[in-house]
Amino acid sequence: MASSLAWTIPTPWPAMSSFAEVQLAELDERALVQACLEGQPGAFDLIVERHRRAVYQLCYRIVGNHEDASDLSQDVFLRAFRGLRSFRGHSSLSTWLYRIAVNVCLNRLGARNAPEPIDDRQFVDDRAESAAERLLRRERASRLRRAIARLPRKQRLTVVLRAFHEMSHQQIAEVLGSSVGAVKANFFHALGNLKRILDE
Amino acid sequence: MHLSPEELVDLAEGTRAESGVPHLLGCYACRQRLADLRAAMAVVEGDAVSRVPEPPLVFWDQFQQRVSEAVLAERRRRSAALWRLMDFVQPRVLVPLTAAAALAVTIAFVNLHGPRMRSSTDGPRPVASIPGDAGAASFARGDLLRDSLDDDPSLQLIADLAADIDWSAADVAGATVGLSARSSADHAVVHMKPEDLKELQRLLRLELGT
Repeated sequence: MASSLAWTIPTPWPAMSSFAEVQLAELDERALVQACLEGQPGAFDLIVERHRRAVYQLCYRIVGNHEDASDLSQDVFLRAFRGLRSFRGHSSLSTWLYRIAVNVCLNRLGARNAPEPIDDRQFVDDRAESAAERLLRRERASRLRRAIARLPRKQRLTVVLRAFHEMSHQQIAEVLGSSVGAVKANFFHALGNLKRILDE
Repeated sequence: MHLSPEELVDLAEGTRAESGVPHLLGCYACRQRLADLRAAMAVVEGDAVSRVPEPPLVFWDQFQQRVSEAVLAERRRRSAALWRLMDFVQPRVLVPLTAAAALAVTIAFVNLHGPRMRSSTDGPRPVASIPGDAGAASFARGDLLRDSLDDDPSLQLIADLAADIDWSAADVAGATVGLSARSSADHAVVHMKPEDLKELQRLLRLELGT
């Protein structure tokens, strides 16, 4: 895939007919997936548009930087397109996509043998803060991100999915292929480790 | 027995009421673990800056376009792979298969629509029973043609097919117009004397160089 930072003059996105857009937008998840499998134009584009931000954010939280998150999230959707026939509708489409994203990100992390440094860029409206408060917040955030990066992978994933993506334990279990009890135990130990690391 | 990690998580998240866990009242260790857990959750969930930096709007347009291009390339790759498979399979499998299927249909049709005449165990087998003054001459012709078949095994299939044809019925149905018309070459060949047929066969072989 092309680098995410290859900014070119953006070409206008070709618009679908409004009638087709309305038709697709009214479909539920399973019907939308079926429309994709039948090759209906725009169906898969709609799936990408609905889930791209969540997938990107998940990838970002796992790998810690924009470059990799952008490439990996695009890869997630390509893999989703290839494996669309295997989506049975037992879980939500977002949970299924998250599962693909976790696997894709873990493969990338596994290839590197160490997690990438956490991106320290911040896009928070801090105009209301004093300089001291801003400095303190940034330092705390940076420490937290480094602490999360030091967690074992499953604990890191559990914290990311639970705390930042607000997924239920059941959904996390489906994404990680674990039981609900194991997810809760991972979450418990992850928070304990975070506290220990932050107290160091 | 202390509370399990799962139970503590349920308590910290509020999905289970503390009043429903009498053990907490009497266990300082579990109360402390619950407090630590809640404090860690507050740090993680309350950290606003742990939100992912939002990319510029143009990023999402380009993201959408790149994914769409990748999907289109994937579709083309699949189509090309399918055509390559067909190119490979067609000459090696489909053509012989089609030929065999056509032959099987032909044989089945002949067997269904022509009643059998004679068993092949009844001595010399004539190629067919020819209407008109066939009589004993047909047996001679049968022997002659049988000799020819021995010389040329590729004709055996045609002979087998023709053996089951009822020429009388074919004649009635008008399928043997050529044979019935006295002026036709077919009629002449069919009604030749055996010695004339032998001579014809010799001349044909000479002509074909066999």
